[in-house]
Amino acid sequence: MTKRRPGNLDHELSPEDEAFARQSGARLRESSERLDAATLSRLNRARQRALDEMPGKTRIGIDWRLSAGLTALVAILVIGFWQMGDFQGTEIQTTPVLVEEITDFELLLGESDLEMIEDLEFFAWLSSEDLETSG
Amino acid sequence: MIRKNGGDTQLIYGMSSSGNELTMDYDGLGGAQEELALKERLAMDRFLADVERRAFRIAAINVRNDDDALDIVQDAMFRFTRAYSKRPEEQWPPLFFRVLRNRIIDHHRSQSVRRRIFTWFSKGGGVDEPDELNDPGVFAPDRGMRNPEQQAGLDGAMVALEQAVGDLPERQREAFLLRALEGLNVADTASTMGCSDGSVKQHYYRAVRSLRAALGEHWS
Repeated sequence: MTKRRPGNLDHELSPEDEAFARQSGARLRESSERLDAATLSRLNRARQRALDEMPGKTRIGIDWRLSAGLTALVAILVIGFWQMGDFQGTEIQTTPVLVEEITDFELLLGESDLEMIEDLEFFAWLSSEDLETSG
Repeated sequence: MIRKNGGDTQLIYGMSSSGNELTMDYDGLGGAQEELALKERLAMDRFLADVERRAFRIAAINVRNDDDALDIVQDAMFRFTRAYSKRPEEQWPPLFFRVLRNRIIDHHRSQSVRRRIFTWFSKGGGVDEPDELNDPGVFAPDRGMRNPEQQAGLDGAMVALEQAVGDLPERQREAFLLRALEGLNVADTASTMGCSDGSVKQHYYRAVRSLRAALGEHWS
């Protein structure tokens, strides 16, 4: 069985140690109160900024404004998409016109085909006439 | 006190150490929610104003650079107010100092990584193990960077005390600063340090004994 050593495992400070700890703690606290003006000013600014980050009144205000902004943005997007839908609808209405143009174009092509066929007939007749004349 | 200034309303809730009024915007959302938020802000302001100087001193002793210490305290305040302002006030001291402690640890880690990278590049690619990494002093906090005004506020004994506390092993330093400087009890110190009450007593005991041995001539 191990023998317990007082003041080691219990970590009890002697009265002198206690006095030293109290004295050194007090000196450290005193030095904390003697910070220079620039440091105090920076600490104060940091604290005010940190307080502004608190959830609560200020945050509620920001959330209210944020939600209002988001609502406006969504409304703008919805209206924008709606307008785009109308614009696209106009394009759809123009599509039959294009189809008609394509049909006319095909008809034009068809007419040229007929002419070409007529031409072929003419050249065939001409060649036969030449053969008869020469024959 | 509430003061109306044109269309704006401001709440004056105290005076700064330099004699200026401490004010906040009071945008008049009204109702119980507004009152509650205001009380919470006032309570948080009082708490932070009470601890900020000691928090700065703790950070400065740990990192031994006042600019870094200010950044650490500011960051700790931000994180604390965002995360814990809704907790009961009696829980604030250990929570705040836990946040502060984590920021100090993060600072030491980032400094260590920076030194490693710097050493690696300065050695031309890290072919050889840098000798500096074997030197325990290389990861020690930076030495003091105080302006004359700050230095004048500290006498020789105080400088020796801060130096000796800064030279303590990390856990002993934490226990000593939280117990002796901040005045936290054993349970709150244990909560802040994330260890048992027994460990706190042990670290604190060893810290005090080491400091007495180191500072005997200054403090006898």
